[in-house]
Amino acid sequence: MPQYRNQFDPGTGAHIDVIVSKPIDIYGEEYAARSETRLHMLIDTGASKTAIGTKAIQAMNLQPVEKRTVRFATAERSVNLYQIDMTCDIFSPPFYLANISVMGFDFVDGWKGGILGRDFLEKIAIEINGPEKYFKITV
Amino acid sequence: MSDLEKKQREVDENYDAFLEILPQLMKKHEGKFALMRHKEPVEFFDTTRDALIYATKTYKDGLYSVQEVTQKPIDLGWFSHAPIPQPV
Repeated sequence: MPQYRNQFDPGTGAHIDVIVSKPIDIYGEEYAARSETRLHMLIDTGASKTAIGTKAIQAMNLQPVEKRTVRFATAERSVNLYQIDMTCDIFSPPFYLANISVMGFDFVDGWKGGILGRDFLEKIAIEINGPEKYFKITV
Repeated sequence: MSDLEKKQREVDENYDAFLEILPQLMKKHEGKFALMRHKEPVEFFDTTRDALIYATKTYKDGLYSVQEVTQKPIDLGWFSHAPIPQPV
């Protein structure tokens, strides 16, 4: 089974790079390939949903598909959801997820990356070794 | 109004209409995905993908949205304690 192992800084968490694009099923191969964008994603076990920055959404010219309510510490707010394909080419062969729903999020510092939430984590096995500062993903 | 603005308005209006009927939809369609057009649910699907494939073939103007029939809000963990973002 394809595996990826890397060191991580406990202060910033474990990150991986992924390629996101418009869904091939909906837009066809040519449009999907044209929209491909590489993003640096934080593995976030606390988030129920994967989210990507609004700058990436605008760059890919994604259109909203759905709205959902997000619970914040002091309020709830509705946000757009978008449909994407995601490829993790850190694995050999690459790990491909078609038609996943992600949230658009305006990260505080304008960060262009995103977070991989539990909807992604339920599709992989991950080991995070804090004392030895490494993480390992098996797909 | 640009195509993106039209799409956003459709998604916003569908969402408001969806929230009004969500309690009724939960009884029969919980876990399904409602294809919404012009503030009305037109069909229910097992996945967003299935709904979008049907919608792109059926509605060439692109004016539709897909709402999961659920009352669970998204929880972003640590990011939920960040300042509330503007809608995007």
